[in-house]
Amino acid sequence: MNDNQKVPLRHLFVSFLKIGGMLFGGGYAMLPLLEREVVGRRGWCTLAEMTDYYAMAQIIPGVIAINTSMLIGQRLRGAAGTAAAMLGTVFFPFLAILAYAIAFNQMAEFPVLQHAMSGLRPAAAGMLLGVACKLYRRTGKDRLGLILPILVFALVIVSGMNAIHVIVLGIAAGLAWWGWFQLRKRQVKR
Amino acid sequence: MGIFLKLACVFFKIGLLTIGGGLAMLPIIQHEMVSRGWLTNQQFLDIYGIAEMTPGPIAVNCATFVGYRTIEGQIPGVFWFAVLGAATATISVCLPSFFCVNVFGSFWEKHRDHPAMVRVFAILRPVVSGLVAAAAVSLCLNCLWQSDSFQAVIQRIPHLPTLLILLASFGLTLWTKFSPFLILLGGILLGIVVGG
Repeated sequence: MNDNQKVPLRHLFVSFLKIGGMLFGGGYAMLPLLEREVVGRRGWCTLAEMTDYYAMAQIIPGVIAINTSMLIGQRLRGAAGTAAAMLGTVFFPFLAILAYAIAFNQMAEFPVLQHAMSGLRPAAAGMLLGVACKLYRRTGKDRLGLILPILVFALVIVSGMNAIHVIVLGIAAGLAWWGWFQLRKRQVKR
Repeated sequence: MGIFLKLACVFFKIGLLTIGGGLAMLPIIQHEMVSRGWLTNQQFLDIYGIAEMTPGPIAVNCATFVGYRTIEGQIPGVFWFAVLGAATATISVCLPSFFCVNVFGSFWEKHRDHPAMVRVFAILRPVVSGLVAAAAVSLCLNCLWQSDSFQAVIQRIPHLPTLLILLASFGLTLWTKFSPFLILLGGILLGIVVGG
């Protein structure tokens, strides 16, 4: 990408509009779309760079798909590019849910819709349980990954603790672990 | 107008405190929405299902829906206010990342491999896994017994078709590569056939 050749903001917006409109399922679903549009069609970055953005998006707060879009927008056009990429990505999802929210009130008049929801609900609940098991299978590769999820699970189920507090505690524990490690290293040196 | 500010604050907080994306967000969104009375557990499941079938990340979908419904409930009758509420919540959930990307973008990139960062993530990943499991179990109990109290669970027998759909969806998700869209569509069709 030549630096003095600016990418028009509307190209950024349109490209992410397309990606956002096809973004079904979790974050991984975004990679093939990005690869086709941003790497292949537009040539805005290489495949390796795209993977780096995706990895970086994981450690920035917020939605991974939006973060990835914004990182690419930021690199191409700074803050304006970030905004264009973000608005493009959320546009179609926004319209789809808006339509559902508007239809929601009329739902009581249509028993078919209610029956449909009564089938969708257990399917969604079962799916989430399946996703939780998959996630545990993936994290449970070492002792920490096997035990910690069960402790957190029990803590939340029994005490009803706020998920945000658990996350903040987790971050604090990670920092404390690092601090303890540094301290020990210093003692060993002495 | 206070309600707009409140929506913005809550979704800003959700956007700020969730590192690791959609799955990490689910338990937080569930807690924030249900404890504020903005959504019931049932409505949350509905949105999760809808979110999986429509494009876009669940946090964004949830923000749009809750923004619309909350404003509609508080200021009824004005359609554009509700749309504005949906937009407020949707933008708010993205704002923290917007700032982080622009202000700390290069900082994150440089320090991704810092030992402190590595340790924080080594802890956070299993923590999130436990949180998601807890949210999933409480939502499943809610779906089957309309309550997650232990008493309700041992006293009543759940609606059989609901239980079967739930178990089928669980099995298909865990052991096959069926797309979520198809699984949920199956649930919807079965729901219509069984008739609630």
